[in-house]
Amino acid sequence: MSVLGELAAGLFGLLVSTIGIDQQTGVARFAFDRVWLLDGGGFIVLTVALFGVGEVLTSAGMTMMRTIVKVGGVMPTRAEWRQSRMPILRGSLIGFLLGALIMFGIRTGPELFDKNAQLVWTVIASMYIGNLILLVMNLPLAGLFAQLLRVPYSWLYPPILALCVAGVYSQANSIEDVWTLVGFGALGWAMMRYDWPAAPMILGLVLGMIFENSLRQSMALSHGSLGIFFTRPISAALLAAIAVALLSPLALRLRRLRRGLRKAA
Amino acid sequence: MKLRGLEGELILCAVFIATDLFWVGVAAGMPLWDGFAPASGFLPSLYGALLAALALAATLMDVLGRRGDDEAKTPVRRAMMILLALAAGAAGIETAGFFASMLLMMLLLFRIAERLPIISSIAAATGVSGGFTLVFRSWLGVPLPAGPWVF
Repeated sequence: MSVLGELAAGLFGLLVSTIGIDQQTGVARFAFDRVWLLDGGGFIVLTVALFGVGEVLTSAGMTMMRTIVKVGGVMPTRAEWRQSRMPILRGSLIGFLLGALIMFGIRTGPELFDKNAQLVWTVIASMYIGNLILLVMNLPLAGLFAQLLRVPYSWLYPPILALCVAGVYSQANSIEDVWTLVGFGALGWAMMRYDWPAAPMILGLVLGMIFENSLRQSMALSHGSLGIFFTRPISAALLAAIAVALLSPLALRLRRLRRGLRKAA
Repeated sequence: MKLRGLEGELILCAVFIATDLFWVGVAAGMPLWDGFAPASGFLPSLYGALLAALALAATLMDVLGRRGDDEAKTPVRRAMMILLALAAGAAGIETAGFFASMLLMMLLLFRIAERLPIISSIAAATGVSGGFTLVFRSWLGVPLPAGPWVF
């Protein structure tokens, strides 16, 4: 799918993020007199629906085509560790700082450890403990876990669906969340089927409320002038980076086209 | 039912556009601007209008840029069958309880969708539903609906 598709999926996430009470004005938006919609589209429910149910619906139809692989040598080699160490570091840092903390409404920056010391150190400690437990569990049991791949998918996916239902229901004890799971699961399947990426949608959902609040703050500060986004250095640099990211594939394509035309001539 | 790639893509695009137009329509009834800053209806209207245009453009580019699409994909009928079983499970949770509705959902999938042996299907469905009920209700304290039964 093109950059346009990715942008569209991200915008759909932003669209869904407008469901619920507007935090600044108190207006209920797109709730249609349903109390359960006032809290907005739940992040966990939508993630499980798009990536859990959507994936099951996509894969389950192809159980006949799946080959059962023979599992062996599950421990990563030294070369694999070397190859993956930078992506692991990069992903952990970006995922933790930009994903997990922002989701809890915590601004990352120099004051992070002063203002939210308890939460930040708790999260870091839990990561150490969690990784230690995983290490103890995974080293001896990796082979056993990998044996799950030998279970035919036709036996595996119904329990996965039941687990999705139980997990989604248990986070708010709400049957409406289960129906949301069914609806967005179908959407997730359709998106996967036609190569629309689902990840930007989740990103849009997470960032939607933060974006709206920040936009209002900036507009109020600048007395309604959009110039603030181009005159402030960080904002201007980010806008320039976005422009480069969006326009560079187009420029590359044009260059390739021109080269092809020149060769043909 | 065989849904060709192109038709399905157009249907998905139509769903996106219909949702966007609905969003814009509802947002039009809200205030758009308040003093210096956008009000409740501004961003939903903007998102809706932008998304409708983007979804249309992305689909058009995709349709023009290819495609007899011979990729192996889930048959629609099969996916719909699984989705129906999931919906039946969801519908039964509050009336029949979590254990019974998940048991039924898994039985439907094992037997009708996958045509697996009946005894094994019953054993697997009962074991998994019972296991999840035990873990979620007894160990994690989640008040999963019990329905008319005691479990």
